[in-house]
Amino acid sequence: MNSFGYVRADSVEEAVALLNAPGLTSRVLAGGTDLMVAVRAGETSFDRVVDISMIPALRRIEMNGARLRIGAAVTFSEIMRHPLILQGARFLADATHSVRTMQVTNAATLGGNVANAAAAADTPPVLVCLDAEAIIATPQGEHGSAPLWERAPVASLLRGHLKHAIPAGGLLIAFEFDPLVPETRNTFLKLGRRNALTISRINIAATGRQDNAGAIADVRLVAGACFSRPRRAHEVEAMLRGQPPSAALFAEAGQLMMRLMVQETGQRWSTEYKSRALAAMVEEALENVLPLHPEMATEAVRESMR
Amino acid sequence: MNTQIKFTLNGSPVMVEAPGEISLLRLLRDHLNLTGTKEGCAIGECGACSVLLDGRVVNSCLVLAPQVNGREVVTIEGLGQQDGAHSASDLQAAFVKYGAVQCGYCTPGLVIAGEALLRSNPMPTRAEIIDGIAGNLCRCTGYQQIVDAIEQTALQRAERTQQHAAAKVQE
Ligand code: FES
Ligand code: FES
Repeated sequence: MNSFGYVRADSVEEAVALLNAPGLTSRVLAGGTDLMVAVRAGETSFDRVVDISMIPALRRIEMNGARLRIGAAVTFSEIMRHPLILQGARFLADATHSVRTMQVTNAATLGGNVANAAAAADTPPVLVCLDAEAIIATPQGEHGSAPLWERAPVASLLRGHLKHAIPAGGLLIAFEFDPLVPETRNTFLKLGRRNALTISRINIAATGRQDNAGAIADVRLVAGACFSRPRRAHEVEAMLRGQPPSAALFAEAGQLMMRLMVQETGQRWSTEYKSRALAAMVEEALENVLPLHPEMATEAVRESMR
Repeated sequence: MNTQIKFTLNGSPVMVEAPGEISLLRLLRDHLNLTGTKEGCAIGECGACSVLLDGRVVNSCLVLAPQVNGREVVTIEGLGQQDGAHSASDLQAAFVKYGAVQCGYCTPGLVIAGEALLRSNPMPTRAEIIDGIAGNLCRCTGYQQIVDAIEQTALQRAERTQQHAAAKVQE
């Protein structure tokens, strides 16, 4: 078995210093749900893990001015119940809830889900849809003892399956975004291989807002596990904006999304199935956030999904 | 690399020297002789290794042993304990009564998950119970009996609290 040391950090400064200690290759350990599996599979690229899961500053969900801030070591279970998130980003709670397994949601962290950068991860598409920013502590000074705090859009950190652009020796501290206003509907949809424990084969995060006349004032759409990395589908969003919602329009949006996917990822064995499923999911997501009959759309839709 | 791990295990303080790179599951089974916690998959997919860590259910195969330093772990062995004496907990007794145990391999994990569920949601619906044990695989029972056992335990506990409250009022 791979032999490595363990050290627990009590503060961000200590964690960054430990991660940048000379002569050692260190890895961040948060919830362990991905790292422990990698260790078991023979991962040997580090000689020490730095446990950041108990750092108080990384464990908070709070308002930072008008922005909602979620610490990187906050667990999925904490997210799915928190009033600020249920109010301001309900679809993030839905995404964490979609994992379904208490044992995993009690351990898995938001920062870990982003840093692991699995193509099929549940929360990154939602963070991208929220235009969330990551706050990262990067090493500065002797052995990184006086870290610098930087900000970067979450979308810019995700570089494809299992690839991220977090600076070397840096540590994810928190995610920040503007909470959604009550008029903005939001949805998270997931198509998985089986119900429990599943990482998504395709997921969709979407938000939408209509003006007084019912036309689409704002819409954001992100598909996970379909493109090389989760990003806003600006092409589709632009096509929808300003239009009155209709089944035909949503079908067209689904077709456009499907073409974009094929264009970007090419034809694969799974494309036939996946592209059609994607189109159908886009339609469903748009129906959820831009209801044709807003007065009839109720929470019941969401409850039936949970 | 051996390291010293100090934590609270089933209510008592323990200190153990063990390699720092093993899982909590291996620490419990190989170094502390608590073999009630089972290894099914060792990659977080079956729930057989479930334990309570600071009161929350986790897969012990996904916890690095030194991560429990200074924290509280409860295993299946700790559930029936009352005043140091061993006896089956009400939930364990219900598993037996409702036929929720066949080969028994999944049982410790399911009892732990069921206990965690009942502590956070004392009156779960059947759907909530099914959701609550979604991380535990059982190859034998077909799950219905397990759901029955958890449901009946919830009812019994509610009844007991009611009786308790009634007795208090009478006093
Ligand atoms: S042994 Fe831990 S989840 Fe299967
Ligand atoms: S009783 Fe055999 S696996 Fe559940």
